[in-house]
Amino acid sequence: MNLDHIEDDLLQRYFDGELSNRPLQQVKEHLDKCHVCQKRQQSLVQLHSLLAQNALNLAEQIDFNRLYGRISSEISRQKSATFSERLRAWWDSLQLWQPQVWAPVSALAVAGVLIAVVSISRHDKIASDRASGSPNTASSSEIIRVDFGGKPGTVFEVALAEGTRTAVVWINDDVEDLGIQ
Amino acid sequence: MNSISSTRSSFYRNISLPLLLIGAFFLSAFITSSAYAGESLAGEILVILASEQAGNIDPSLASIAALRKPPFSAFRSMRVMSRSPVSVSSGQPVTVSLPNGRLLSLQLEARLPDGRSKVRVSIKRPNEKDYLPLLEVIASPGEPFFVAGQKYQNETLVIGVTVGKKTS
Repeated sequence: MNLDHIEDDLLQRYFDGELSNRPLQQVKEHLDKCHVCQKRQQSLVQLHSLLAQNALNLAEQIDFNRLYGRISSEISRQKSATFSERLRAWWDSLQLWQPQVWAPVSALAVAGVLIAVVSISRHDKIASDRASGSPNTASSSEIIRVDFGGKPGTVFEVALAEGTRTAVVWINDDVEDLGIQ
Repeated sequence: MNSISSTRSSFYRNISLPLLLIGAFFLSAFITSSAYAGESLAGEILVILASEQAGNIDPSLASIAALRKPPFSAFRSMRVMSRSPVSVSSGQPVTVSLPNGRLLSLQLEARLPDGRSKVRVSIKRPNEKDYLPLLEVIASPGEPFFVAGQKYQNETLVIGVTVGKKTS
């Protein structure tokens, strides 16, 4: 604001409701006293209402249903990209990639796929061994570790058919705990 | 408007392959884990009450060859007290109550490449020191191993533990 009148930009912002408290108060005080600025402000109001009226008149002349129909038919007429075009665009986008992005991601993916392939093939081998009854398939049970908890006990191997055997753990329940931990 | 949509489509194009590759990684990890993890084996806990007194051998035990051999051949009567089908897994041990009030716990520790399973067995007594603190067995599928010797009603408990099923 200069000494005489409110600047155009400030007046416009006042009209648009964009001023903060202090300049708003100053503009109001000036408008109360200055008839020139009051007239300028009234001109802004008139101009705004004139534009609004014109816009309304213009809108009444437009057939919006017809306009939307034309837009949608134009959109549907546009040819969608073919698969090869999309593939080429995707490939082009790859060229923009930085190695520091795709290198670790690719390594991660390759590692994951390798783990899956190795695991599945191992799993399949075990399954096929079981199904075929190959010589790899042991058919005996055996004791690895036993803790009798201080009682006396015996581990037996009972021979079964075709050279196989099973395990028996015998706990001597007649004897009290020996107290051995 | 055009520039916003073109920026967006460029963004989606740029992140599509990393997302695809990360998705492939997690998919393969999922396939791997589902092939192994969560695998459980059907099993059975067979509880027999055996005695050296003359009596009957339960006909349902005829198929278990080990019971006709030492040390079990000393028994002249055998009665099936219970057959408990169980699902043995590596996560949580399965527990079966025995006639004498003790608890038999069975847990899968590992599957071996030859088809056998490594399992851990223990027998616990309520409010007392564990009766059989630890037994680790490599069990042949479908073939029971035995924990015997506990006295019950002046007879002997024979517990057959079967893990997995015979393939042939």
